Amino acid sequence: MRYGFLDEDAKKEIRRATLKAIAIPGYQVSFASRELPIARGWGTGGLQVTLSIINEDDCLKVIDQGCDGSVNAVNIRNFIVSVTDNATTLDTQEATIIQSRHRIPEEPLKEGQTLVLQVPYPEVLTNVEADSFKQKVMHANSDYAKLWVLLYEDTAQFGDSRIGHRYPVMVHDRYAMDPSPIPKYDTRKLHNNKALILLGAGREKKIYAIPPYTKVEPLKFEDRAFKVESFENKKCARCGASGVFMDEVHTDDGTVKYYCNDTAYCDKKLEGKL
Amino acid sequence: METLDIEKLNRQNFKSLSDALSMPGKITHIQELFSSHFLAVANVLLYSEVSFYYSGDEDMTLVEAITHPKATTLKEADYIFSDTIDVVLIGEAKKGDYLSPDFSATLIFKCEDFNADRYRLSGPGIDGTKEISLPCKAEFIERLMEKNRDYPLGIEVFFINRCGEVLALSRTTKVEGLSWDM
Amino acid sequence: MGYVAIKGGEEAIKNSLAFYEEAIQTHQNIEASFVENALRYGVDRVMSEGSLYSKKLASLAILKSGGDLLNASFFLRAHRSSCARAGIAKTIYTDDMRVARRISSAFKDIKGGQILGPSNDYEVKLILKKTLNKTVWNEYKDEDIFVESALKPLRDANMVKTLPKDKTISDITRVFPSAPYPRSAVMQVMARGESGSMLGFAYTSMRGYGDIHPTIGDLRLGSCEVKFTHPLTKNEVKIGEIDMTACEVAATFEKQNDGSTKLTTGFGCCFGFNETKAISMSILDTTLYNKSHTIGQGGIADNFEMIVHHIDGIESQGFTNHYKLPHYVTFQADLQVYENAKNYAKDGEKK
Repeated sequence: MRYGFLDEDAKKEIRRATLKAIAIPGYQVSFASRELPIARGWGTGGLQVTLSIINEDDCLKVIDQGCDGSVNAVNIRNFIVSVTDNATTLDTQEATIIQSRHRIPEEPLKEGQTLVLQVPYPEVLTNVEADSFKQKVMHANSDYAKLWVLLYEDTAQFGDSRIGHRYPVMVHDRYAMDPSPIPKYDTRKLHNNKALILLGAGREKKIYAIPPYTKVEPLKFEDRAFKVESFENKKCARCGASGVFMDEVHTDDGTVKYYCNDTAYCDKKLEGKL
Repeated sequence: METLDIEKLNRQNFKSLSDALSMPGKITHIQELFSSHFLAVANVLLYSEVSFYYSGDEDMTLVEAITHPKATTLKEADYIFSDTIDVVLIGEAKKGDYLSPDFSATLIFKCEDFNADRYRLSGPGIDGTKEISLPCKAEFIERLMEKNRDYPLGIEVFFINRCGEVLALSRTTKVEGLSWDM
Repeated sequence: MGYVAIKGGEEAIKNSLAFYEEAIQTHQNIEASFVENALRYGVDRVMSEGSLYSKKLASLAILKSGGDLLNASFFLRAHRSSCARAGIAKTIYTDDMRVARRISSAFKDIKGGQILGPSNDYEVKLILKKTLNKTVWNEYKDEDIFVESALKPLRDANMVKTLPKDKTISDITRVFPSAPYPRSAVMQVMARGESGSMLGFAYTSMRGYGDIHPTIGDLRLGSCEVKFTHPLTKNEVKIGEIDMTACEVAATFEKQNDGSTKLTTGFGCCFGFNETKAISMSILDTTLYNKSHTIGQGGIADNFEMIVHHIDGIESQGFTNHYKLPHYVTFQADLQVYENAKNYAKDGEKK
């Protein structure tokens, strides 16, 4: 099988979209998404981006829900390795390409690294406007009134936005963007990140990007704080870390335990490397 | 004899182009194809779904045969290649519309070296500001800033010098002259 | 439950697949040719939804997926992605079809006749074994049948509304269009759409959300020649034959811009023998491109966004099944927002 599975024209199409996405931060570039031997909705957007940008010098890390060993991460990593023979790692620092679903690693990313996020719903407006042409017009006019109305309604009723994950962000003061289903805890990491962040939606056939050092702000009212998930007074039952995003685990004896969600971070902490 | 793996070359050269564009002002390196850095870049970007314009001295025949792009006019082209830093091309290049700002041109200029004038860059991809030399004069930058004024409409520009070094200016990149009076 | 295993995912997915293969008894080694012949309608459906014409591969895919036709289509679609494109075949005209079955419900008799052909439409659906004796007609001739569409006389008489042709033919596998969608793209999306989804959407327009009143003008099943321009000799050569189903429905009439009144029609067409899909597609074509309500609006099947984005089986089943993936990060995030909202409500009560 050829390196990277996709034929050269498919890769060039994805690379074209990737370059335009980098040039227009937060804008969704349409591309001719190819079918892969992995199901739609299971990371085919991220996978197509990774397969198109990866080369022999890259070291790959794949995570799902913060975990390198999760079944979907294993499956995607095995597939990429089977078509590239590239080196892989669990270490966030060592990786040049990190493909992830739903999390941004705890350890800060560096210049030269690329974070590829798998995206189920690339369109931030989808919950307030279903028609894709109208969505495009709203983006053209930077008209996000409906998002503000939603935020206002939620705040009036519940004291805050009802959105727990996929919290809408404004990129470079121009485009409202869906940051993929990351928790709000990770939303802040998008701002001025040193790594290139590429977002791929295979089923919806869209690629978009946040270049390094780009202004990314959650959509919120000025007089309201952006509340992120907090795990106050909680410590990882495995490595003892605190102040990180945690998994809540209900044990057989009825107790609740907390663990670092980022398992590679947890390992490193346990080995005393952090 | 070493065989030429064009796809491998494309992978590595794409990485250089994407690094250059995601961090405007950063210098990356292109490996030659058919003894030309310029053709190597063309071979990364061109394929059957895109169009290009080129009027210059490099022999595009082989790259065209490999990639099957559509040759078209300056106004229509997705990619505009030029042997010289020609300010006229900026005016003619398409800059997209508000619905689809991505339907816009990318310009690739050949140059001797990057040492014409000093500039200060800022914008996405740049940590604060960055001072660098660019291979172009004030008039070129003025026209480019004018072209990219109505963001998200605009164009991207790549410069390739004789040693195969690449640097790029994105449409979000703000460029100010240091060696000339503002 | 202990700590969510960091390692072990690898073994888990291997074992899971091994259990699956045991469950569908792949060791029995059923021949693909058996599936190809005995389960031909399943094979045809998989080729059409998988967007790849190969009875052999479709049969293998059905075996591999234990008869789950959506899954089998997915195997085919994935394989398709790895095939290099040799070129583009000549347009197939369904009037040139070697007909195995052709009926029209619009006219009692039509040029070329009603040809019932192979069908179990009139079988009383009892799961009993019974023997059928074929009656041999004296005037039956065992020769190839080619007939023009039953709607051709109406078309020749200029009674049928025609839509403008797309200037360039879309190719949704290379460039997926944005709205407004070119008709060629819409037809391609439908030709590889999931039969059940298309049936569902078409049914909405028949039952309660539209009034187009379709009548089957010409439904035909048969084989068509695929022709190709030889890249070297530049001669037109036949490269094979494919089974196809095509359906034209006639619907209601509509006032045209030039003041004339024309009959509206729709066209459906797919790989293999799949009458339900072809009929559904022809109805969707009608509802999308014609006024589907005499008064009022609010249809489902007349909405391009609804049809173009929701009938692909590979996409809808992939996404539906992705909910099986772990979502504990997002759920944790949602729970915290819920906690905050709950506290906000409580604080409100206190005041």
